[in-house]
Amino acid sequence: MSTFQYYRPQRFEELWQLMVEYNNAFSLLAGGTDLLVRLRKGRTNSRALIDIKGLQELHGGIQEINGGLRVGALALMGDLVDDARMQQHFPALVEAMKWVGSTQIRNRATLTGNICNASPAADTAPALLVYGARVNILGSLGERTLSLEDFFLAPGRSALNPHEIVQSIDLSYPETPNGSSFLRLTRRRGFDLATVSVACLLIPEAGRIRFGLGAVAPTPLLVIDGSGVLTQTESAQVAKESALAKLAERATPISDVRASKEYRQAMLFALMSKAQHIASERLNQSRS
Amino acid sequence: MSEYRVVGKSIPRKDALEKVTGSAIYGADIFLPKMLYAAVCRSPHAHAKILSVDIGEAAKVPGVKIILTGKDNIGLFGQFLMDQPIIAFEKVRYEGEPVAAVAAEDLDAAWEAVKLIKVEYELLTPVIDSIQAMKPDSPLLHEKWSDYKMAQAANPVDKSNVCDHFHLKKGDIEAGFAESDIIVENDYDGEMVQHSTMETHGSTVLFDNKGLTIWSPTQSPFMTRDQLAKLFNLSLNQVRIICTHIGGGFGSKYELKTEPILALLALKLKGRPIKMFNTRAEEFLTGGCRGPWRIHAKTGAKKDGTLVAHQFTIYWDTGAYATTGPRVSYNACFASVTPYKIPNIVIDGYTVVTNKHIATAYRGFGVPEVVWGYENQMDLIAEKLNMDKVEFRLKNALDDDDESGTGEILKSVAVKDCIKEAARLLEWDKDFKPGLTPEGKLRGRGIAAFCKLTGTPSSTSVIVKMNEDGTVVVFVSGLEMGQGSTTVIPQIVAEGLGISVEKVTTVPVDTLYSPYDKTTTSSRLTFHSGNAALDAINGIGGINDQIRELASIKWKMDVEQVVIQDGVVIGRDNSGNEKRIVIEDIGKSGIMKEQKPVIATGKYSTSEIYDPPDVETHQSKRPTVMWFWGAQAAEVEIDPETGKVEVTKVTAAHDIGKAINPLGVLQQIEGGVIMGMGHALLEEMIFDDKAILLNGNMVDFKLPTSRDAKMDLKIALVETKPHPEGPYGAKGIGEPGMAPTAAAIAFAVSNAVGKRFTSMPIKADDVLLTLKKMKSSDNHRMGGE
Repeated sequence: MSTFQYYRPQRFEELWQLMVEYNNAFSLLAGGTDLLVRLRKGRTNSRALIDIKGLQELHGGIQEINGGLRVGALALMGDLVDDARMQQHFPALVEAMKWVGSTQIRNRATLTGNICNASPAADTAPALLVYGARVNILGSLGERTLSLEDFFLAPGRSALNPHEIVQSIDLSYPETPNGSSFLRLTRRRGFDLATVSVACLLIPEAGRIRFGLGAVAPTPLLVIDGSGVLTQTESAQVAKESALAKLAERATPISDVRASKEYRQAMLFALMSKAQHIASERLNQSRS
Repeated sequence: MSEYRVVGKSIPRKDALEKVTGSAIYGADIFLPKMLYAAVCRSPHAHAKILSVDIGEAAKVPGVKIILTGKDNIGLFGQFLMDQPIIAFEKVRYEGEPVAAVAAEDLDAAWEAVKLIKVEYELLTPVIDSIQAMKPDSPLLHEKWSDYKMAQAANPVDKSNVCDHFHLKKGDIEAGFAESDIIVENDYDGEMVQHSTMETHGSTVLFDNKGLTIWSPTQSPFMTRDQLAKLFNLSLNQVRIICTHIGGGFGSKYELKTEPILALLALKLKGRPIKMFNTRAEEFLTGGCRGPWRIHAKTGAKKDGTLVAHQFTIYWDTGAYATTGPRVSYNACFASVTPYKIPNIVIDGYTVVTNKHIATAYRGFGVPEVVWGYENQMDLIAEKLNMDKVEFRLKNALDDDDESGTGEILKSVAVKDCIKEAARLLEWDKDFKPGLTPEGKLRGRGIAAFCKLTGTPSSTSVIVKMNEDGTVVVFVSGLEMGQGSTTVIPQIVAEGLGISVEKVTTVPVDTLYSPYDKTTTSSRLTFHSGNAALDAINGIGGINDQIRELASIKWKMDVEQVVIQDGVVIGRDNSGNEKRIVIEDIGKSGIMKEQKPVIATGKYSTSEIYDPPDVETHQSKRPTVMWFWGAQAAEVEIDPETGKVEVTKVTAAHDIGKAINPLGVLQQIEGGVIMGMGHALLEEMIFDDKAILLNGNMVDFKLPTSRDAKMDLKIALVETKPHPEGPYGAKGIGEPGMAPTAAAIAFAVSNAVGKRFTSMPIKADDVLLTLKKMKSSDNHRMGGE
């Protein structure tokens, strides 16, 4: 482990000052479930750890905002999984969070931290993408809001500037009726990282289906079909398959130690059709 | 009903409580006054010349006491060929090989110094696998084998990367193939896997006026002592190995690992204990592994299914140094003769060095690998002859009084019973249709049998001491590494003495006072230490004789007038008066008061029964004191959309002779099955084309977790053939639980898919792509018609 300074600012001015002082050579510490592993492995050049848990403003938890929920930067996955509003409106996200690490990890890890790492395989990203999450960013120069899609730039790189942090994530309740699902393929049943993950949100009245795709491109990917082919039960199987295949084409998976490119491609299509199937079944159940 | 009171009864492990409550002392728990910490600078390259090592900056780190480099080497070590330097000099031969070692006041300082050591390398072409290593123009890892001292039997081929060639021959193989009606010929292979013990390798070493003292979780304290004494030119009383609890061994803690480098540091820092434990990343690079392997097999049979010829060539990639590779090859080549009657056999084993991480013993010494090979052959023949796979195996399986492929007239062989039991538990006779189920899964089943010998000759010794209150402690030098020896040995002793097992405990192993034992390997402990313990009780001058003597003193009788029957000491004087002491209550009898201590030694050695195999043919009338036999069957379901394999059912039947602690045996087999499942479907170490490990971490090296272990597992302990020389008839079970598992699962997968998989592991990727290929060639064929 390398040596570093530890800070726990109480005010944002202190935070901005530290961020300037360490000019990119710092890491923000919230849950620390990824950071500590990287530190131990010497995979970070950070000279400072800035613990943001001293900032009261970030402890907002889960708040209802107009037509949706606002998830504070320090909200824990364990709490989010247990939240009835989350379960009711964003079931695919809750499913995805249940896959993250173990109970102990979820009681420590934040949702915001999971997206700030900008991992292409981030478990929560596909579901957040299909629900159209927006990221509220706070910096020394002011506030701005980005769609999550625009937030991810490259593996490990987000749109955050060196003097900015994520303050909260906004989720609008999706149009009803809707059906959603999350699927994740791993090599073993116990804790594992995703080989491929897929979230699906189906809104029949708009004729729209949204897929969030994980671990198949440099960033988590959002693909949308608004043609209605995939939301209408009466569509021909061939038409459905070709629409799904067209969406899956947007993915650019690679071969690595977890899976081959060919396997990821095959699995992406299989998972997308299964996710779509589960989402429409859930939609039917909610209607009946 | 058992005629025994303690043996054959299931009892909970004696070490369970201290382990689950965290009070057991493991290597990492050792903290000594004035202790220093070590860290090692390791090569990032698999094959390179060392041009220079600059420790200038590193030495300036506050707290650093000493830094050693290749120049400080004092010799080479190795169990068979002494080819391994403590710290690499001139060149490095695998990624992670030590090039410098630091001792410092704290671990952070040691690691800081490691980071500042500058090493200049000139890259050499790495030898990445045994195919490349065997080519005549391959770079040589070791220029000249004859430059090295030979520590034990190895048969290196000069000017090659072959550090050992083993050859076994029986009958006339060419004639055998000539009379075969069908011949199947195929290649099999498997990737490198690691033991992945929960506790990594490490030790704490002190050098002072008394010599070397080492706290280590070693499986082989006496071998470690011997090798270190030779390396550092010390006598045996100057090397003391204190064994800490072993947090998982499976063969990986059988050889020297961190001990030599720490001892080298300690030699220069007298009086300061030095401790080091591998990080998980270091463990993957240097902790030992099961090397990749390749098999070429050719097997011939008659139309009626009678096996007539079997030729097997195995290439073991043992990594950069020979270590125990020749022994893995020896044991597995013997097992390659199969548990079947075959008159004509040729086995060749080539142990090959490459620039990969060092291989070592891994639960079964190569046997699971060769089972994968020869049992695939058996399946193929059965399929070609349209015979049932169980029936085919039973037709050919060895029995008592048959001659084995190694030239021995066998006794105590229950492999047929095991095959029958494994098949019965899987309901093999019930209608079974492989392929698509109504639920849309692909279903298949398979069965595999095996044989394995225990390393012979070997010897062990035991000290049994009875305390004044009648409790007993046993000094047994085999290590408890999860196999249950600290429970089984007390059961054997309690049975032998006629007392309750609660009264008997074992003593931690410390070479200062513990009696000699070869190693804790080869599933030999219950058999060898059990026999030695019974010798200490029943042998001349043993515990029973000593009790008789003490009773005779107390009762003022001749010792001949005192006998021990069923746990009772009975004395009859000339006038017919009888006195009795129940040994269970001996503490209250007062016979031990102010007398000599009741301490007896016992030994068990297999040198006398061992017939050294012929050098040319490896035929022997008795190559081993004990064969292990068994069979396992498996059923799988495959998701055709993902290629993922779910092992739904495994049945295991093992020839256990006599289960001393049935519960412990069941646990051993259960653990073995889960480990074997990991090998069949998940585990592999992945390398790039420079022999650099790509997945040396617990995320990407896929060990099965407890969630993956969900299956319907049925185990039969076959006790039809007690071992005539075993304690109460017992045979070993440590390695066998895993021996046929991967093969049985693989055959079930092949059966479900309708295509034979020959490489281990069988990953979901492979299954899915195979299914897709089959589907597209089906479509193609249909389209063409």
